[in-house]
Amino acid sequence: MKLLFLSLLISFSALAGQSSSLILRARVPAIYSVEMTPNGGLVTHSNQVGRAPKPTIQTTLRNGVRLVTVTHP
Amino acid sequence: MKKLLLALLVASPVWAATTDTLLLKGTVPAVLDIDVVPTTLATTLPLDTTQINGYVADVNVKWNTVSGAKVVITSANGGQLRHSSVATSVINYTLQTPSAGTFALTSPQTFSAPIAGPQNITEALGINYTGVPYDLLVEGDYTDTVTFTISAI
Repeated sequence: MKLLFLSLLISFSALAGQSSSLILRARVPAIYSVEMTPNGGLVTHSNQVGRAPKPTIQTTLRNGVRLVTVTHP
Repeated sequence: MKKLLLALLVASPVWAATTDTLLLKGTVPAVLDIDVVPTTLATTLPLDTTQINGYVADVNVKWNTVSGAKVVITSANGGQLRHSSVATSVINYTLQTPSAGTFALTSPQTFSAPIAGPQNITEALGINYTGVPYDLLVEGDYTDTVTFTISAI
């Protein structure tokens, strides 16, 4: 039994170091963007998984000029 | 008769001490070792920037076998950096070393060095891929595990 154990130990030590792994990793950040079309529509873009972004839109009139403020989450 | 036996007993020890041999023997076990040391770039790959031989690791191989050694390189994702949850979102890449050149990992790659040991060689490992703007990629982590295995030829 001792001989078998010793034999296993020797086998394992011979195998050690015969394989090595390299982990490759990248991270893509979350991107949000809002595009206003010529007719005043808004198109939102996101690269998030399973989540449609909902921007907050605030419209104000100042001296006859309509200001649209878009706040993206 | 007694005299003859006595003569033999006396003679034999003298002959035994006149010549003999001693066998000296040592055994060197086979050594096959591979160690991949990653650089910081390996785990911070900028997917929006094209890489040409981006330095991702040093590969050190040692062997003392008579017939040389071979290294098999396999990719868990078949040579693709794959999104952690969206399996269809991938970036194809290739690797390269000065001696092996550029190679894809769509299937395991084997590189043989039929050179008798002892050998101790270190090679830089580079990565190649075409960058994609982040807004065209699903956000999250992209990974792959590349395994290097050395064995005797």
